[in-house]
Amino acid sequence: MSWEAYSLDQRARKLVTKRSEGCLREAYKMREAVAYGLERFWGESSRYRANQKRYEEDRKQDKANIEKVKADYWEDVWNVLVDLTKEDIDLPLHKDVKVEEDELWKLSRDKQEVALAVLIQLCDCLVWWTQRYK
Amino acid sequence: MYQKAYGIIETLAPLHVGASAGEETGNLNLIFRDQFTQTGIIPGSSIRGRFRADMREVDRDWANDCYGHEAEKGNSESTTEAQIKFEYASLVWLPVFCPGQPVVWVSCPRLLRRYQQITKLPSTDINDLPKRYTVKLEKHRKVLFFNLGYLKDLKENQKLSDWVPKGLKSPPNNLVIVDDKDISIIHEMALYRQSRTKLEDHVKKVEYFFGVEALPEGSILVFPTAVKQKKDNNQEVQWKEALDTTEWEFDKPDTNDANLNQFVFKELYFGGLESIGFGRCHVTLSGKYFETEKKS
Repeated sequence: MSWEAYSLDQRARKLVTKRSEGCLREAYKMREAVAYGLERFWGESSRYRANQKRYEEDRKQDKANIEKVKADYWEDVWNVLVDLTKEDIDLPLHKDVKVEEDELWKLSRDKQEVALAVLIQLCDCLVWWTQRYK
Repeated sequence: MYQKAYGIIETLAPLHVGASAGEETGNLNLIFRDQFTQTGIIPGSSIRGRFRADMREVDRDWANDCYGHEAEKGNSESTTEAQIKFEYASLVWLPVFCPGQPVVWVSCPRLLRRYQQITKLPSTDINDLPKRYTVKLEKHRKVLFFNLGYLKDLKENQKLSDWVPKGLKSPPNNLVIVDDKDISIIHEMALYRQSRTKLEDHVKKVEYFFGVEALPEGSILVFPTAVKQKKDNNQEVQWKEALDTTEWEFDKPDTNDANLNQFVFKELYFGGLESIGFGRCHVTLSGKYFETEKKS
């Protein structure tokens, strides 16, 4: 029964500092992607995963690693969002979302709005810390 | 000797009363804040200054009479005491963006206590203050998320609407009470913040910039006033008549409640940043002084 801060800056700084140089710029793409909704944000890591697999099949491990790091970053940010909003919103962890079951569409409009608003704020913090560390 | 009245200020545009742009070029222009809750205030002197300016256009002598005579250069004896006293205005309800709502008006026991002491509304029992973490929302929710944090275990309290002043242009519908210690962080989150620039006269190039913070539109503040009944020469203080001549509108609340007083309202600008679109307010005056006038 009180005000609970998300500690967004702390979480964002942790997310940014444990990244390799190669994927820091993803923060800007994340900030842009949230404008289009949760699905697109969730889906972006799938694209990197698919790229990763393709490079692995082609035995281009260096390139595959870069794609993996990016995909991991998007998923980590998603999972932080799940933790931030867990008090009232049953947002599934990234690996638990089944696209074919439209899980993200099942959330009420209110809850989607809340999750998005928090995600936007989190991305703003990521961008801020990226500018300090890159 | 003094009759009490009070004013309610409802901001219709962001409101900045504090450091002015000229003094802190390139810096953040902070608003005045209350010492304990760290929430925005308007000093009594600023309110008096605006009332004086409002009347000075119509009748300079009357303005000097009601709000005190300014000192004349080289004549230290030229000032007079104001017949109307103003105290600072403190927040009663502060609108905050709240995803899913989309706006809630927040207050805390300390701010509401001041509102109650000044207006004697909604009850004179000081123990009757609303409990913290109670809400009256159009659609009740136990958890409210904000940009930087959330409130949980919120209980419903339909009586909160009794704490909304009458005569507002757009009365708030989603009300939330938080603890006194939480109001400052929520206030920081609610403030309107922007960087503004001044361009050079003939080239599209920034000459200087300044950051401002302001109370958001929809904020509701309260201030007490005291009206001297008789002047030193034993004449009545005619504040109501003075307000009448300066086009204040007199009205009754839109309700059958006989206990509610007549009130007086007008749009006024507060603060020094009118030039960037700040400061438009709807001001309502009410209280015992106006009640007496009604009965006579």
